[in-house]
Amino acid sequence: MAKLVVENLTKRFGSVTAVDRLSFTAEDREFLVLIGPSGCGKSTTLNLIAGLEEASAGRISIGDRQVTHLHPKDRDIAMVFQNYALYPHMDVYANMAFGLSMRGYSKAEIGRRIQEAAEILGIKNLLQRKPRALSGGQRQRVAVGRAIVRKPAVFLFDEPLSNLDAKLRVQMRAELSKLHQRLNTTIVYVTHDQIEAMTMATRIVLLKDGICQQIGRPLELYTRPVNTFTAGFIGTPPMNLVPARIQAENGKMMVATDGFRLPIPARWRQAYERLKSKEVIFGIRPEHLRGTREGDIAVDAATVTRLEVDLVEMLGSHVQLTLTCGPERLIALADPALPVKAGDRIPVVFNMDSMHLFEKREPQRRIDAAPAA
Amino acid sequence: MTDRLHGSARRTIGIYAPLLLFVAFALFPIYHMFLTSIKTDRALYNLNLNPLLVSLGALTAEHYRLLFTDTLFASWLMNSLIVSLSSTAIAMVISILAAYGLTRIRFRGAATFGIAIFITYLVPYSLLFLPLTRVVTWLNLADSLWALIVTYPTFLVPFSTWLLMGYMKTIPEEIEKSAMIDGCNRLQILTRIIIPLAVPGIVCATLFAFSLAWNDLLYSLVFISPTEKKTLTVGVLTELIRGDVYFWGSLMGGALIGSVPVVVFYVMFMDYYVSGMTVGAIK
Ligand SMILES: Nc1ncnc2c1ncn2[C@@H]1O[C@H](COP(=O)(O)OP(=O)(O)OP(=O)(O)O)[C@@H](O)[C@H]1O
Ligand SMILES: [Mg+2]
Repeated sequence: MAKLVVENLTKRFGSVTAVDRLSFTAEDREFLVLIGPSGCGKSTTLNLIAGLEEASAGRISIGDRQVTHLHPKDRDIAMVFQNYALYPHMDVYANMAFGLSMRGYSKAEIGRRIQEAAEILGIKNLLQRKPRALSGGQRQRVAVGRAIVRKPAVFLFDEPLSNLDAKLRVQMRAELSKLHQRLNTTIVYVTHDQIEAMTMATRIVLLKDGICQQIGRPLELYTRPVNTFTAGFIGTPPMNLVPARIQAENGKMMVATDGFRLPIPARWRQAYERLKSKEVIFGIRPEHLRGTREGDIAVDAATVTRLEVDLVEMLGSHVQLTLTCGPERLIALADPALPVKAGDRIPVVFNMDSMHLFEKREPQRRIDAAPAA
Repeated sequence: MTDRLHGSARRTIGIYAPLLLFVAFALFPIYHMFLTSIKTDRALYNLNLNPLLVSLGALTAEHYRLLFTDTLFASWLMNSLIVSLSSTAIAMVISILAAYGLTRIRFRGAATFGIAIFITYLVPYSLLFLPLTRVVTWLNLADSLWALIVTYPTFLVPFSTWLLMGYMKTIPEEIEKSAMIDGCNRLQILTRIIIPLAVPGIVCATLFAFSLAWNDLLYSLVFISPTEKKTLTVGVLTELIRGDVYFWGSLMGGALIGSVPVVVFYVMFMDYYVSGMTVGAIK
């Protein structure tokens, strides 16, 4: 039960900078999720926090202790690995007892803690088994059990669910969330699955190439991505991002691309005045693009554009449409009852109130209606 | 139904017929050795008799008696055991430490060092004995079993280190990381996690090392001359061939007894040995 502070953490492997001046704080009892594409430095960050790698620069503190140069065993952390890393030659009980007996706990205390953890995780009947006699889900629980018997200040999880099948993953996700509430402890959790991040995190740290892109609550990352990378990474299907130009027309501000010209909502016109004639990136999420039928339109006709359908994917609850928009592709959603097939030209409603604008210049930062004060 | 029976019968023959042939091929020399060691010399040298059979009248234990009473065979056997077991033990301790260090501890030059070991392993040991002779003399170990105990590891270590490195690489690194977080230092990781997990590899390396040491002829021949210090291979060869007189029966008897320990060890550790050989083949 402690706060974890990471300051300017840097790790270089030869010429590769795996983690670059990373700073974040996991508050006490926080469920902090580190997410990013493969190779972005998530595992390295976790290894640095655990002390399995030596930081090239930067500081780490847990609670009120500097741990930057401490041995892993002295950091008061426990870690769960993607491949579980159970000791194959020990049974479940011995696996969970190992860390405690290395620390000199009494047999009775070890037994008590293991019983307690086994109770919580529902693995009481597995204690005498060897890891190889367990299913993937059971191994997962044992790995978690091995961590919780230690009652560490901070739990570190490195993609603990990615070796499970889809259904088990959903179940374990819910269980881990519950476990977090029950244990009331700080967790740093690495994943590349943004659904895990969205559903479990109190806050998300998004990494790319070892550099932190954005830190925030899940909904914050979703509704106000700070750049096109975050915008494209969080959300499935990802946000549509197309190059556009801002134009003034009859006192309106318009977003113009090769496929459409649409007005910016009136309340932002003033604010976006400064972007006139500028090249930008226009972003809109698929759920804010709705494919409809001619004559169906009960909305402001100004936000409707006709686009050609490239691909129709029926998902039951809705239909996902891939639309051609000049050289770009847009993903839109539609009612499953909509009669549409590839090659049709249909009216598409843009919910411009949910639009995003980004700078065209790298790193394609978000342009807010209210300029940064 | 008949088809399936037919198929399985054919498969059985397909597997066992070649195997039987191979077994016969492998066992033939042993059979012949055994036969020679229990025949009287008269039957042995009678060209009219079938050399692959023996009549009950021509059986004798004389060759074995000669081996144990007229030569120092028992001492040679003991010497071989002492030398092979000690040099294997020394080699295994060094190899386990070296293999672990080279596979898991990232230090400057680790890769180069690994390759260097591999190259050492490639140097024919029949060349290595020349400089080693100087070393042995300098250490004042000539004509002592120590000469062998310290020189055998020069070819046992590279070989078993290389074998163990391959085995240790297959142990997931996360297991060690877990152990480290659980409070182990490097040595504890080695003794409590790596060695128990590498048992098949270690057994396999130990067996190979033991049989290499046991079967060595050259070093033993070069470094040791007193009869009572000889190892089995050299003793049998030098003391049972006198000039152009071959004590065939005793020679074969000695060779037969000499192969027993190796066979016993291999059979004892058969399961480990097989799983050590196939590591990496599965999963
Ligand atoms: N021991 C190492 N030596 C050299 N480079 C390394 C080492 N460990 C990691 N790297 C490099 O550091 C970068 C970050 O690796 P890391 O394992 O942290 O990525 P990750 O975000 O966990 O990716 P994944 O999602 O695939 O697990 C990668 O470019 C990787 O190649
Ligand atoms: Mg990783």
